[in-house]
Amino acid sequence: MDTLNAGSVSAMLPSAFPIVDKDWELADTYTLHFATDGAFDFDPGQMVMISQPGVGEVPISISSNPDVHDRMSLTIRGSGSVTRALGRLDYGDVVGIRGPYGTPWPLDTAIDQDLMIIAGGIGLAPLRSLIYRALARRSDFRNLTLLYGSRDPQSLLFERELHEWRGRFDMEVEITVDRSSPEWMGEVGLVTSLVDRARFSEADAVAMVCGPEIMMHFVGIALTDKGMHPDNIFFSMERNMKCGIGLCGHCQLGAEFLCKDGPVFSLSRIEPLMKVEEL
Amino acid sequence: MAHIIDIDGLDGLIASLKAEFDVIGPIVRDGLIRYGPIGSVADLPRGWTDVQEGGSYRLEPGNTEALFGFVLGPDSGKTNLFPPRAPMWTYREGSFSATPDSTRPMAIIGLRACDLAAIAIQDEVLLNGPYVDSHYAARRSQLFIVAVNCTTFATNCFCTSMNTGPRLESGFDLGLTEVLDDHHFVVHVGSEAGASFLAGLDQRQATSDELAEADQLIDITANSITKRLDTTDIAQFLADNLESPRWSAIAERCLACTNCTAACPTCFCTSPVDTTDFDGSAARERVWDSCFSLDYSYMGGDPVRSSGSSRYRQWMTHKLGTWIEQFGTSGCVGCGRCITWCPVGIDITEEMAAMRAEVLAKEAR
Amino acid sequence: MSTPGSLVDQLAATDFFSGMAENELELLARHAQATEHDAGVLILQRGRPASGFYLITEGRVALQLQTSRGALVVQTLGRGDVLGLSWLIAPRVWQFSAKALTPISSIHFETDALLEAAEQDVAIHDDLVSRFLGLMAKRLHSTRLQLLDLYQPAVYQGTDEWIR
Repeated sequence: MDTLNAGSVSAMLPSAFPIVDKDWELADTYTLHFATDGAFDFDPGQMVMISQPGVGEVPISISSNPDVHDRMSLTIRGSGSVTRALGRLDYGDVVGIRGPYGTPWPLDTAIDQDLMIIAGGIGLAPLRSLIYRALARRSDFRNLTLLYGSRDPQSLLFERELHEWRGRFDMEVEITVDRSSPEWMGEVGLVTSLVDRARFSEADAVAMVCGPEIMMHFVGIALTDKGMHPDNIFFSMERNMKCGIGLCGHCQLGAEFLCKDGPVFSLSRIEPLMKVEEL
Repeated sequence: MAHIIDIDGLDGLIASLKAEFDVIGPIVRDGLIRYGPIGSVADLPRGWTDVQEGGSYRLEPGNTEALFGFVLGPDSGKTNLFPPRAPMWTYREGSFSATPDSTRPMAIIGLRACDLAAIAIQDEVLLNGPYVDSHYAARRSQLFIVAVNCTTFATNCFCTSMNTGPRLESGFDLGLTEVLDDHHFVVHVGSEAGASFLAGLDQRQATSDELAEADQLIDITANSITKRLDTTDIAQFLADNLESPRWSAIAERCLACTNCTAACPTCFCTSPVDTTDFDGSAARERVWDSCFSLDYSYMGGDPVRSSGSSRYRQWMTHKLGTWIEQFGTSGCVGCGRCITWCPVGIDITEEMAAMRAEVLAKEAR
Repeated sequence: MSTPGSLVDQLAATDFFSGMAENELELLARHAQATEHDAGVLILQRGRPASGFYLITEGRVALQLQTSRGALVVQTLGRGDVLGLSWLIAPRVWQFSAKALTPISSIHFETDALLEAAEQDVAIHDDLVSRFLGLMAKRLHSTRLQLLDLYQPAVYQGTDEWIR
């Protein structure tokens, strides 16, 4: 089998990977699993370019445990033509993968700090690999908190892991939904309400946030209102990406190429750009 | 030190280059100066000159026998080094393989100083980052350039503002200045490869008078160029004016046709295009894309830049502003192609001046 | 039960009352009382006359509406949140019921007497009203964002059938 990492003649040439397993997470969201035989190292927050030959290529953040070296998983929501086509594939089908690309979550900045991980919707996927890594290094951090906002109880991603993390004594997990159902016993309200209520030391905390851009924008406001410095708040940004390596031009936001300069940026660096509409 | 060759000498140069390269040069095609394969001096656009205005280009018979009496058409180095379509890979029976580039090494004759500056800029983007465009790299590494000093200019030229021309400084193997009196070329050598090709030609050393005469022709050109772009603190100026009403005013005229990005010698945006075949194989090419097209910024089903004003702003602020932070130079070489080939004649220098004037007027109030 | 003095300090340390003038805090403390509710108790009932508000110090409360689909929760409140806004606005009737999801510790404020006292001091009255106005604006803002359904992807523009 091909190896996944770069080093081939062209940085745009994918390696062939058969799907070894597939899970449906939600009605429109699935996880594809690949065997990597230890040949694929990545850090949480990084992404790959995944291709279905003849259909197209999309950037997807890696959602699996970075410290499990024989497997790599991508959690994908079927929202466009390529992600829907990929959703029709199953065990044994071959896709092309390039990567990993992009900047990882700067976990070392959170050493001896409270680590706040804040997710909205599908944004939990790239944060799941971060949580695995953070738990593996648990003693490096003080309080570890996951705040997760979802549309409704039916749209909660990774319920098995959420239960597991909730059961731990060394991690706080708070979940809120925008719309409740009669069976839902948890929190109802915007994810920012979890930020308002969370216990953390503003001056000694680092936040890593992933979700829709508007959600991240308001989470940033809630965190800075509580006294956090924008240097300590990190967002994972998203734009159209066609190459993943800074050559195709599509993912620019101001002077940043989100694929190679990001996708993870501090709020202090990205905030001026987020304020301009249609930039 | 420089040398003199005559028209036969140039013909000899083309002939000797043909042994090693596909020789590409300016030709008249479709009523335009294009860059295509040439076999001899006879293929060059002898006697033709181009008349350019905002939104118009016309080829006219000049009143001289000049081989390079025109300025530039829509083509540039990009046309051949970074072509509109390039193969990337094929997929067959479970594996991907890179599609080889079938092109032979190229020698391009006729590129101007602004074109060389544009190639240097594309080098920075496509070769000098963390990842390399292998297709471009292969063509670029085997390229031989015979460049030409500008002894004429077009109304849309503003290379003097961008410090890219009209005089050749570097980036060529051989640099020519065409002198019509006793029709000959002053040749400057820019590389060892250039020197070795020159050595095989019927040539002689240039006298100081000949050098001064050629130099004066370039000086006259430089002094004749009146179009200006004020680049003072331009990146910061644009960053400070992302919400200027001027963007909407431009968008009222802009058709988002993408001509400017196609004609621009530095624009490098591409998209992949997949094709499938009956045997189950598939292939991917990269094709030029443009920040003016709506689906350029599609994300999860919606474009980030849906308004025309936001798309024009992306192009101009990138070209003149953020490019500097990204790659150390402006993305604009002052060739004026985007003005000539804009169907409604939007002039990047006028828009920049208008925006500066609006800000000055606002500050004065 | 807290003495008024320690209550002033306790109130001053909350987000909602932070930065409040000493005399206003003292006035609030005079009309405040620590309260407890068991889990499952309806603290406020929709349609009943609205008087008083709570500052939750521990526990979770659901603002809910009883519907044919059961009780639908519009928002949950917790530590540091204020429960009860309708006492300030005509017709001064609770708009939602509030149910204790866990045992609740809170500070209850008696608003009839508080309003009467505040009318003697314009500065106190204005400050109190503006704090509640800010809270309402924040809740309205959150509600609007929830209505935008931000976590849903844009409507797919293509024509293929999604097989799942």
